[in-house]
Amino acid sequence: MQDSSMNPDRPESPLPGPRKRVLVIEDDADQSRALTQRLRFEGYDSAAAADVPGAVRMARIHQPDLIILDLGLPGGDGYLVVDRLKAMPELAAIPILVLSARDAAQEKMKALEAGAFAYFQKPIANVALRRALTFGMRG
Amino acid sequence: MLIDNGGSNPITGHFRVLMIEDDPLDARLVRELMRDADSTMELVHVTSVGAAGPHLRDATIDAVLLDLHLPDFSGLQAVAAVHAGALGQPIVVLTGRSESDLAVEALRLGAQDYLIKDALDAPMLSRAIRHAIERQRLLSCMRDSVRASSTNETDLRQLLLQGTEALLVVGPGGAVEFANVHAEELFGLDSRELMARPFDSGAVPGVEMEIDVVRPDGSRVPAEVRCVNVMWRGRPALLVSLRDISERRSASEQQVRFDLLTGFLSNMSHELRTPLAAVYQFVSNVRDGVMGEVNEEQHEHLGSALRNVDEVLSMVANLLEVARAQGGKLHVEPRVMHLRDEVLPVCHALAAVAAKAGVQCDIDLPSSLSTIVADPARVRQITSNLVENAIKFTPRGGLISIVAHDDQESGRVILVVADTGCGVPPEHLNRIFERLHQVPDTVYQTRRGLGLGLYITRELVRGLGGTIRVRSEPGCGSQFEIALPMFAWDDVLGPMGIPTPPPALHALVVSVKWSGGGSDEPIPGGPIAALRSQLERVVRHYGHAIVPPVPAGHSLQLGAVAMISRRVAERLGRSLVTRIQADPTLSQSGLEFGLQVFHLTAADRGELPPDFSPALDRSFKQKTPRGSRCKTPA
Repeated sequence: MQDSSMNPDRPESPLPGPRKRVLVIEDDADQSRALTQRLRFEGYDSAAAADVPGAVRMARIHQPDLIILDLGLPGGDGYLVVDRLKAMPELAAIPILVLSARDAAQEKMKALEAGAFAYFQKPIANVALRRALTFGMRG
Repeated sequence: MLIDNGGSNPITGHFRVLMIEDDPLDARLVRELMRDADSTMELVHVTSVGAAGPHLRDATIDAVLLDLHLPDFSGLQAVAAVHAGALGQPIVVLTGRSESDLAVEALRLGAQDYLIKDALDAPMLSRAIRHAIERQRLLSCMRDSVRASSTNETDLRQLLLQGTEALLVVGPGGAVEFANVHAEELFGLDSRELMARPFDSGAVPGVEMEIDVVRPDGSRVPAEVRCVNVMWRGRPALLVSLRDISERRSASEQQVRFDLLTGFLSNMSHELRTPLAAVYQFVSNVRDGVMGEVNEEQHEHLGSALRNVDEVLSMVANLLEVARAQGGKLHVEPRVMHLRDEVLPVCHALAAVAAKAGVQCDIDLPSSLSTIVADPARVRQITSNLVENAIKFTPRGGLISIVAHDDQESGRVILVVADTGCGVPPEHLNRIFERLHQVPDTVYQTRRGLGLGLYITRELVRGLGGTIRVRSEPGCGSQFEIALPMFAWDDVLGPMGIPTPPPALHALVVSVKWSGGGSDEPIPGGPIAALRSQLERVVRHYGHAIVPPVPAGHSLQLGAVAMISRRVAERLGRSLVTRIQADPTLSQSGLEFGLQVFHLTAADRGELPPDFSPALDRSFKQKTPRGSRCKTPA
C-alpha cells in the first residue's frame, strides 16, 4: 500500500503486442467494477464473473491470460474455481492470482498449494498489482 | 507462593539440564530464555530420545526438558521412554498450545511439569525447572526414608521445613498432623487451623491430580497434588505436596479468551477490508486519471484520502497482530537473510516521508553486515515501525540516523534507529513497549495511532529471537537498538547431527518424520525407501550433493542439500509433498507424516517480486510435526 501516497500513480508505457486478457472473479460489484476499470487503464482487456459457474464459463469463452480470483463467492469457495479450472486441460495453465480479504497468514499457504501463483490480501496496491500481472504472465 | 530462600537452599544451586528437542528454532528459543533467566543452568542439547540415552544415565544431569514430537518417539511414548531411561531426574515436558490433554497425560506418566512453548518466558522456565528438581529430590528423599524404615521424625520435619512447596502430613482418617509454612500460605490458614480440620483430597500415592484449594475468604486456588507414603510418629501417613498452578491454569484459560478475540478480530478485519478495498480502488482510479484528467488540487486531495485509507488498514492489521501476539501466535518465518536488503528500501521510502516533515535521515548500512536468521517481511515491519515512530516524534529540522553493525561478541547484528526528537520521559521509558501505552504529550497532540506499534515491534523482535532496547533523554532524542541473531550453520545443522557444509549460500534441509510404521529403519523397497531414493534422484538430477542423512529411528533426513536456485528448492520440496500426498502406497502404509523443510538461502530477493515468498517456505514451514500432518492414515 506504500505506493498510494508516495508515487504519483501512472501506468508505465502501454504493453507491446496485443492486449492481454484478465478475468476478474469477484462477487462484490463495486470492487469488480473498480478493478476491471483499473485493469483496462493498465492496458489489459478485462472481463468479470461473480460466481463459480460464471467464472468457469467466462474462462472458457475468454481464455484469459490471467485470472484474479476472490475466495468468498456465492455458490462455492474460490478454491472450487481453482479445482474446476485445473481439471480442464485447456484452462489448467492459466495463472491464478488470489485476491482476498482473508488473512494471509492462514490463507496464503492454502492458495499457493491449491495452485495459485500468488496471494494478496485486499486491497492490492496498484504497484503490486502491476508487478504481479507482469510476473504472472511472464510465460 | 514461590520463595527463593537464598544461597543456602539447593534451589539456588548450579544445574545441568538435558534438553531433548529436535526443532532448531524451539531449541534456540529455550537456550536463549535460559540464558536470560538463569546463568547457573547449563543446557545439554540432543535431538532424539535415542541420543539422550547416555545423558539420562549421567548423574550430573539434574532435569530433563522434553519435546513431545521427536524423530524416534512421539507424544506419550517419548515421556515413557525417557522416564524409563532416566535415573530419576525430573522431566518437564514442552508442549504446543493445543495439547493440554497430552500434557496432563504426560504428568500421569511421570513428568513433573509441563510448559507451553509459545507462552514460555524466562522466569517461568527457570522456576519450573528448579521446582521440578526440588520436588523430585524431596519425594525421593521421602521414599528412601520410608524404605530404610528408620524414619527419624526430626530429620523428616527438617526436610519438610526446608521444602519450598506446600507440604502436609496427613494421618489416617485425614487428620492433618503437620503443615509447613507454604501450606499455611496456600490454604490461608495457620498450621493450628489446618490441623483442626480433615484434609481429604482423595490423593493416592503415584497419582497426580488437580484440586481447588478453598481459602477462608472463599477464593479458590488451583493446586496440583501428589503424595507419597511415609511413616509419621510411628504410624503410616501420607506426605502430600501441593503446588499452586494458577499461573499454568490461567495461561490455558487466557488461551480460550485469546482464541475468541483473535477469531473476532480476524472476522472484523475481513469485514473492514472488503469495503476499504473498494474505497482504495475507486479513489486511486480517480486520482490516477482513470476517469479522465484531475487537476493538481484534486489529485492532492485524493492522495490524502488514500493516506487515510492506509492508516485505517494499518490499524486493522495492528489490532489483529496484537491479538496474535497476546496469544503467542505471531507468525514469523525465519530464514537466512541480509538485514540491509530489507532495511534499506524501507529507509529510503521513509526518508522521503521524513523530508516532507523537514526531518533528515542519515542511513549507514554497511554491505559487509553478516547474514542473520530472521523473517524479511517482519524485519521490514520492525524497521518501518521504528522509523515512522522516529519521524512522528522528531520536530522539523531534526535528524534521524539509521545505522547497523555486526557485534561478533554476541553473535548478533545490531540495528540502531536514533532521532533528535522530543525523547521519552524516564518514568515512561520502561513502559513504552507496553500495549496501548502512550506518552502523554502536550507538544504532539495530534493523532498518534492506537499505541500498539512499539508493543508489536517488541513482540516481533522477540519472536525472531532478538532483543530490543531503548535509550532516551527528554529533549535530546531517543535511540532504539535491535539485535538479531547472526546465521551460523552450526545452529541449524548441528543439532541434527549434520556436519557444517562448505560455505554455500543455498541449502535445503528436508526431514520427514513418520510414526505408526513400527519399523525403525526404512524397509528396503518399502514406501520410505522409495521416497528417499526418489528425492535423492531429484536432487542429483539438479547436480547437487546430499550431505549424508542422519540415521534416526522413524525419520528420514535428507540433510543439507546445496542448491542453486529457489526454484529448484521449490520444485524439490513440491515433489516431496506431492509424492507423499498422491502415492497410494504411502497413503495405505498406515504411516503418519510430519514434514519439515528449511530453506536456507542468502540469495537476493531479485528473483521474485517482494510479495512472493517462495511457496516452499510457505507451504512446508507449518508442516512441522507439531503443527499439521501431511497425511493421516486412511
